[in-house]
Amino acid sequence: MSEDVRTRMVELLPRLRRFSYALTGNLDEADDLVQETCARALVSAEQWQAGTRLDSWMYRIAQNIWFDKRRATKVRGEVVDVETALDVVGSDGRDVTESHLTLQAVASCISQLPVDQQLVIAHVCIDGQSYKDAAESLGIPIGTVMSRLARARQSLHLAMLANGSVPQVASLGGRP
Amino acid sequence: MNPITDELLMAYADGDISKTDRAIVEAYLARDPLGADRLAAFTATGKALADLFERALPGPVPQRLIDALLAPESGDKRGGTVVPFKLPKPRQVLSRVPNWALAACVTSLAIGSGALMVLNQRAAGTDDMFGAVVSADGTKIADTALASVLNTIAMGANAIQTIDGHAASIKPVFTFATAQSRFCRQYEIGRSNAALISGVACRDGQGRWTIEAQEAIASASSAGGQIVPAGKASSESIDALVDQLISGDALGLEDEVSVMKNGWRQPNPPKPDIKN
Repeated sequence: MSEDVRTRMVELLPRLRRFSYALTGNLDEADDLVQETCARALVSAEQWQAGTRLDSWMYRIAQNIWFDKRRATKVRGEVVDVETALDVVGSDGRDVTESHLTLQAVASCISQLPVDQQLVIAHVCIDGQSYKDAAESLGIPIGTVMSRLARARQSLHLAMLANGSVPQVASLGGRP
Repeated sequence: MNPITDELLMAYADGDISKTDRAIVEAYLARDPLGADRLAAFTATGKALADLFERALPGPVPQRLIDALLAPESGDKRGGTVVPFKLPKPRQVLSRVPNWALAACVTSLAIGSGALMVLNQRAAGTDDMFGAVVSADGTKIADTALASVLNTIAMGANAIQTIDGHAASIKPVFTFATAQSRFCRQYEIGRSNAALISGVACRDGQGRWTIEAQEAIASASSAGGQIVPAGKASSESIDALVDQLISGDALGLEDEVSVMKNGWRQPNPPKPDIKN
């Protein structure tokens, strides 16, 4: 694999990290997922076809790893306690600011959605892809993306209302 | 009848909607008080989420993730054991060790900042071969762990590796080119309860790092367990070897990184003199 591709992968890391965080709901797990994704991407680099989108390809690797993980550990249904999640943020020396807390709360809400809903949220809401790009990335029709995404966001909104993380999100542009 | 579907409202919130549909949605929002409530679910979970993730995610990207991509053998599990302490200046080595790095690598706890040396307890006869192997053609070369650090870690930064079951903190000190346009790096290897090792390795045409010299070195006193900045220690014979090999000046950090990224080849067509 050329150094150029590696460099492009490095440039993708911030986005891949956010994407992974949306799937895991936990920063340490997200970073582990990113690291595994990188390792697998390097090993199977010859499967990536130059000219196709590198980001979509790496997202696909990440979501496959995550699928397998969730299937194996049956994380689904396990409730991520917000207190615990906050403690994770605070205990490793990172800045604990309000926006970090909000982020953590929102991420834990996302992580409790069904995987197919998590994925559309990660692609569209977190990574900022259009419905069309997300449909291509996920290999499903755009209509499916939209109906699934609408349901996912309604569930997410309810979860965010329940754990109080909505007001901060709604005031993003306002308060510091 | 309600012609305004959730999908249409969502598309409106995301701005991913045609002009005609936009007008239809706006008319609906103007006449139906429930519209705002329905819309809220989508405005709260659209761009606002992307902004939140972008703004609030603790950064920067951990070095281990970058190394997972840039280290040559990162395809295997070994990639996870390299924990570089990314520090731009050697002076800062002792003061700035990121917490995550310590948490990420238990072995690093054993040797603290990595530059801490307790002297005069070396295992006799092994210092010159620590981190080294003899290749099939009889050349003494860096083993996988040492080579991965020499390949990928910038000068002044430490990386923790496990060598022969011992945690070792390896720090490339500086990089230079020889008159034959080979790149060489002086490095230091710190271990707990053993002498600091200094060495010089040069990259050969096969991508191996041949060890030109390596020995345990005396250091400034570490009485009372004081941490001794590794840079103070030196070896006359190593220094003399560097003087003998070096052509021009040592590389600056930027040059070093660009050479490193270029697979340890000159980024430009090779010239006998890289500097001056």
